[in-house]
Amino acid sequence: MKRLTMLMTMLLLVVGAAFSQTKVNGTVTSQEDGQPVVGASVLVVGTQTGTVTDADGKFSLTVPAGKSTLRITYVGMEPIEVSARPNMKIMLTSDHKALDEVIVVAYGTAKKGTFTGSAGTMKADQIEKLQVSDLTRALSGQVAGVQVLSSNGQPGTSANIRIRGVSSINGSNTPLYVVDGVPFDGDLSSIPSSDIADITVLKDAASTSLYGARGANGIIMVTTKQGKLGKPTINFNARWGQNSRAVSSYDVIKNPAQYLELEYSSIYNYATTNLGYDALTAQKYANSTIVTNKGGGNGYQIYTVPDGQYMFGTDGKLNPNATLGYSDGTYYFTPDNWEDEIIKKALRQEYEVSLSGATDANNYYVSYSYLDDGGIVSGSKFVRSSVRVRDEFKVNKWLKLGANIGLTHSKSYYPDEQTTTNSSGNAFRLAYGIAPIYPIYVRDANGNIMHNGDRAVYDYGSGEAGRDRSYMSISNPAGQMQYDKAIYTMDILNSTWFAELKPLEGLTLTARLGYTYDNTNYDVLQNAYMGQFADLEGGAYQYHMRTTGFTTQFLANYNTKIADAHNLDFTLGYEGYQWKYRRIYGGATKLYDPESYWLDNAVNQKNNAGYQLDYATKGIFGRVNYSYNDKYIAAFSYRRDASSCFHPDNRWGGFWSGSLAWVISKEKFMEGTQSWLNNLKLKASYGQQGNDNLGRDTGDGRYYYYAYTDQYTMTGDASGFSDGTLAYKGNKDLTWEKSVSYNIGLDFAMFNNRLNGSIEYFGRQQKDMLYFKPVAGSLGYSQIPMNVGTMTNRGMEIDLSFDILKHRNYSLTINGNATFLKNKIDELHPDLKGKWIDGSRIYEEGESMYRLYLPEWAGVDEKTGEALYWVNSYEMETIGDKEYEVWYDVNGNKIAHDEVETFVGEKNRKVIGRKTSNDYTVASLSENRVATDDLLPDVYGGFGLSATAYGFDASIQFSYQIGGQVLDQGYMYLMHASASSDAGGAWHKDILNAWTPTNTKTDVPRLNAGDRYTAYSSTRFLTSASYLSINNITFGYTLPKNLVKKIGLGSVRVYFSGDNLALFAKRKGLDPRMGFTSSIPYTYTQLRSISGGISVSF
Amino acid sequence: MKLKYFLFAALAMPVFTACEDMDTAPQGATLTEEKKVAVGTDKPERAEAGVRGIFSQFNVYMPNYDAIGSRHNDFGYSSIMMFTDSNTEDMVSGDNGYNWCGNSLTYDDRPYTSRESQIVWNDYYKIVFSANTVIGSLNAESDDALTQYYIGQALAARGFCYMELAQLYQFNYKGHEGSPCVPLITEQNSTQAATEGAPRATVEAVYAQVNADLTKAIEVLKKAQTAGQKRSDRRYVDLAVAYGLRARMNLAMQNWAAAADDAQAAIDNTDARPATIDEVSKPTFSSADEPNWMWAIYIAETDDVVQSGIVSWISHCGSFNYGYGQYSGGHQISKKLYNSIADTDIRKGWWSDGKGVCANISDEWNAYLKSTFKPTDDQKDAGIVATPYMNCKFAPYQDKLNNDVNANDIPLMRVEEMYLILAEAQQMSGKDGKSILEQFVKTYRDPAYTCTASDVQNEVYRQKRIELWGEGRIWFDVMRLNKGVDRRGAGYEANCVLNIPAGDPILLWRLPQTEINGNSALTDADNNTSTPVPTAVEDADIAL
Repeated sequence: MKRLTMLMTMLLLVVGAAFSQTKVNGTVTSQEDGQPVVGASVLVVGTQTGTVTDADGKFSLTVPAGKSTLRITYVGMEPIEVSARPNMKIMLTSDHKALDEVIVVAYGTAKKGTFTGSAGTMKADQIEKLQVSDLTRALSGQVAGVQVLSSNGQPGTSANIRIRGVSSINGSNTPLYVVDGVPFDGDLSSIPSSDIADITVLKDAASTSLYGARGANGIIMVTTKQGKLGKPTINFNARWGQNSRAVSSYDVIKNPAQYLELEYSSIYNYATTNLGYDALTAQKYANSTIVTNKGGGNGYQIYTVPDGQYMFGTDGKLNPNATLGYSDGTYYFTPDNWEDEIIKKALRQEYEVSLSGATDANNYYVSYSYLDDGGIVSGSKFVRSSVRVRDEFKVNKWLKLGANIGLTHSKSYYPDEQTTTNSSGNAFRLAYGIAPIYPIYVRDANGNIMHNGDRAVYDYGSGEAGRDRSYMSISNPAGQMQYDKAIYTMDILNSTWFAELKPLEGLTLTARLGYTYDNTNYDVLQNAYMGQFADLEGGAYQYHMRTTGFTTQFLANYNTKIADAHNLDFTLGYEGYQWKYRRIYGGATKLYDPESYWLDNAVNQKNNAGYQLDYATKGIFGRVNYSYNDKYIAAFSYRRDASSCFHPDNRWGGFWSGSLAWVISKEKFMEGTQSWLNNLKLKASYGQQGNDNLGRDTGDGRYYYYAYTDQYTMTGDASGFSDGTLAYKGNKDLTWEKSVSYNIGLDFAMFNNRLNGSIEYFGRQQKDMLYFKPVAGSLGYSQIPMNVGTMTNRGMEIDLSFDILKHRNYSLTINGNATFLKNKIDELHPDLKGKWIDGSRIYEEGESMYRLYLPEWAGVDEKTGEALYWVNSYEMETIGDKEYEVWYDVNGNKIAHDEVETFVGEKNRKVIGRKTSNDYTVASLSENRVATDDLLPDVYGGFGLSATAYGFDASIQFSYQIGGQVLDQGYMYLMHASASSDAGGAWHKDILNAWTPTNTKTDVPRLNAGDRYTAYSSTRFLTSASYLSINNITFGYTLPKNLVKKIGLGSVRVYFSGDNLALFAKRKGLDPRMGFTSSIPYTYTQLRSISGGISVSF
Repeated sequence: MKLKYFLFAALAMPVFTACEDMDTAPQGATLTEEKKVAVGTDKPERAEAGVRGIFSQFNVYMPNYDAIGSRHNDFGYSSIMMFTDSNTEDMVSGDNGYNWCGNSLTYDDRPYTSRESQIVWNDYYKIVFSANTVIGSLNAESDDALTQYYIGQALAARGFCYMELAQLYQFNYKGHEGSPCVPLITEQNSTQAATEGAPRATVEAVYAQVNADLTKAIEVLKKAQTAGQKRSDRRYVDLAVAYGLRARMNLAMQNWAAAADDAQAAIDNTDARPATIDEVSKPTFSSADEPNWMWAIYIAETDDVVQSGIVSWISHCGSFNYGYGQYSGGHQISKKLYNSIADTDIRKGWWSDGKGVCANISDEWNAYLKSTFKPTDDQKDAGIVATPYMNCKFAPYQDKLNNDVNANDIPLMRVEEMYLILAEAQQMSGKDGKSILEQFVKTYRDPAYTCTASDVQNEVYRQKRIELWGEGRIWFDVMRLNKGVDRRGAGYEANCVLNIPAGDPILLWRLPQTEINGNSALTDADNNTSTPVPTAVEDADIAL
């Protein structure tokens, strides 16, 4: 390296004089293997003139008068500047990207080699492979420590990101997004992934505490693309493909006859067991009940049987003379495939064009992109047009100005209720949960689908054809979603503007403004043709929501070097943030035009509302970085922040961090290892971050903006006001939730930088957690926000990347990451006495917060087939001929039996053991339920493989999770016993193994229409949460440069890409990625996208 | 000269200068405490808004949202009316996915983690909270008529809540005076209770509070009335309503003579009179302006419960309006109770008959009932044309068939109840209650009526079950009279046919788990006995 530089310097001296309009030529080779470098760019510095090397690494170009320096660049190689002369021999060395790679950190950048914190990065080339409408969905399996959870596959929606676990029971766990240096509260789907240069996930305190206020859950830094030095480049990228469903449904019984026989047996068993009927009476009862919507019947008749015969015989089988399809003279009934009718494949298309380039003075990037991301149910898709202009202009030596403006117009066709699992408007609930016996359409006596005008008549199961469904009656999302509309129309401006002054050597002053503006209209039409709103002649709602975020940032940075070894870097800054949200709403019913949602089109029940929310933070901060010869590095930062969510007295919080790094490989004693060890760095950090977010983005979040104060709702009418309804109980003492975290890690690069990786051990203790303490309802309110309790997440992350093969013409790289994470609640509110049972969750000191509190499954009673659960057995006494529980007062004195009922004060029973009970309502009493183990996985992460060979490239990316459990609620719903509340619901094939008098050794209880609790939640439905998923596979081919050049293009690549291709989990249909504790399939399923595309640059 | 850089920076500064206003406040219908005080100072008449706030607690859209999420049976006090009615053996409804009182139908509301258990508990105590706030902010000894009137409102409302809580969380007064009841939170101890919790007071202590509150309310309302201070509408409590509440209390305490006196005082002081036969010969009970209403929940068209379309009492409990009640025949009366009504009684037309035909409504309205009915083959054979025994008592808003504006007012006290209390109390105190009963029923409901029952108290109970059906009152008589719940022969679906004996612990509500967790003076052991949800029994035709 040194010799090469010398050589270049000599060349420069020899040929130093400028030619006028000189033609020069040369060859570019790689120092590593001596092979020619194809496609390296050669640019005359200070001009737009340039060329690329050909297949032999050769180039020639004419250097304009007065210019003499060439800059040669190639991806993966160190750029080099040389003096122009004829017959040049230029060697490029591979860049030590692992060490000198610049990563984006709080208020600046850092070299990876000397970075003391913990960060993971995803680059444009990785992001571009993925077909995502929202960047959160790109992160799955890519960065150690990051978990991506989603229970909503609606195009354009964000996934939930959790960095190093969950930090708060009630408060927000969402990381802070920072786009081009400015905190971002906007809609993430407004940033097209094609505009993103990289995403950096900052994980530890050293990296995040400078964002004080909002950094507690980690930070995701998004940097948009910039121009590269050289002539203007135009990139064009187009892809077309198909969206379909990524997760298959459970193995359900699809044969209508088989389904009905099971349902019949359930009703029959009820008649014989519970009603005490004899076989013949029971047969009559079951035959007549199954066609009603009561007593476990489904409400429909779909088979025709000869007159005078039963549909089901004494053997419980469908009458062999029965034929599928039944006409009552007016209507014809035959089942439809709901899943196929509701879930359709959809087109996905995406186009991007960008212009970028840079000169010494001006760096520019202009792009336009268009995405049409089809949803897989009717009325669902996401369409986005986006323009971005980024320009940085160096006015003179000391002043640089720039702006980065992204303007997005998008329309999200977003049907309501698709994630509301118990809603009859949820298409997925119907598609996955309905028995294979129901028609979707109303058919006339001849079996033709009836029409009203050109609209098919859908069967809502509420008597359109004289039949009432027992399953989700008055509902048919397939019909509803055809005519209902729910559309978000968004105009989103994300802009930053900055001025950078360099008045003195080493001093940089930066002022930055960030302005986000989100103007969203939400229009809802509840159609007047059919469904629940038909009676009202349709309904319409229109919302206008305007959100603005305004950030002001002033930074002063001074960098100096003392004695050529001590590098010092000081940063001081101020940041203020102001956020406003206003919403105007109007609604009405009775529409003139049944398909128009405009309020002027409606005449009845007109109503309106309007309100505004405000939020502000401000902070001052400072940071000192010190490094000695890039070998010993130390950093310290402090930030003081105020949030408007807290009372003025408790508004300010201080957050600090300190970190150290030692680049061991630079030590003298390591010289012997230089042949194989390129870098070894030990780093450690400790610090604090804050959180002021009680969960503003959820539920009743609007009150949490003023979390410290009591809030009342004003209601009333023309006759007067009422202001006595307490809407939210505030707490003046509420203040910052703080997390204290540490990170110890080792970064390394070996074997000529072919093996790169890091191992980190981290811990994060959350103190003064923002938490809604449930209070006694007798106080008149049910919860009060407090800073209570302590929780710890700790674990280890491993991140590795290995270039197995590295050659000019072919390469093979493997990468992988793993995170081991443990969660522990250290301390709860003293009132809770160490334990808090909140519905089916249990929070207990010393235990993980991810535990359920469930009735304990004890199997199936071999004699009766009933579901059994474990319950407490108490000390009993016999009085007369009856047994009674024995109660004691606090002093241990026995309370006389006849005084137990009226006893005042604390009383207890003695648990003497556990026994089985067939009564679910007893098993579900708090005292009888049990806490599950920690449900978190033991390890999660991702891995992938990418290869190139002679223009071809291929990659595959996986994510995985091992260990842990989820409550498989999807399966639970499919294992019911056809009791009236479940009748008409689909059955999993496992139901075929239900207990019968001849099949007594089973863990599936009997089918009995009287057993409504058979499939209620219990430890029975805990299922392994391990999974492996194929997130992406990409194949591409880059056409040879010389061929492409002949047609006047820079590069051409064609490719095929598939996202969300496969999921392997414990049970088909189960998706453990939906949540930490339970999985329920009745929500908008994840999308699989398969596309082909072409990208061209010139 | 470097000065120019700084000059440039100094000039640029004002452009950027941030003035983040940290003192933010919500703009709209949400008020902070500070805002309330500020507005109250500028416009003193807003003080009434606080008093009205007590009564707006009876009608709130999803008041328990932060505790239990979005539930369509969560709309203030009238939710409790619907739950308690569904617990009885008199109000039949289908156990289907659209029945939001289904948990109360099957007693699945009783486990102390149920949403209903929180709704009931929280709703009463939210009213108590508002009442305590008003009482705490006013001078109890003031001679100002308006102040006395306001205090009377708050005391009466608080007395009302504790009286009902006492009857839901413990068995009847007599014999249970020393049993644990509910925590007593007043303006005196509310701050203390927030930190130290409050134990379950005894039944005796709760009734003493109710008595004190209602007696004081009567005293101040009498003074206010004398001074000419009248209520602006029937959402507020007047002297007669306060007497009526104390009559209920005395009845529950079996102070028969006092109950009779209070009922008589209510009748004497009220501006309401019993509705005539003619007035109840059609669907009615939908407006507080009806002549027989003493006290009511006012519902305005602009209220959130109405705007929601279907999250309201009448959505569930009406048959002629848009809402849940349209589905599966809505609510029906017990067949055996219906069959006990004389054919000459006008109230027989408050429900459809065994064939689904209602005598009190027009052909058009009967046709409407038919249009939502899907008979089974057996029903067709039996000539049944609409849901039998179906609720036709409650008119749709503004008597408009299939009205989608669910703005019906809801009765809290009707003068008819006072006559029935009077009859029972007189009879039980050894006087002639029977003729009061006969006179009342004959004049206002059934001209052919004579009371042949040997047990007059039980006959009054039957009359109340008919008269007050669906109005959320009868459960308190079930508890007061120590009845069981025998649903055999009433027309329930098989899994809802229960036969719960009197005194069964399932009849009591348990303090919700959230109360036990949050109230540091309580532990699980302080709660009422936990008992499994009852299982269905075989149905049988049993006459009343």
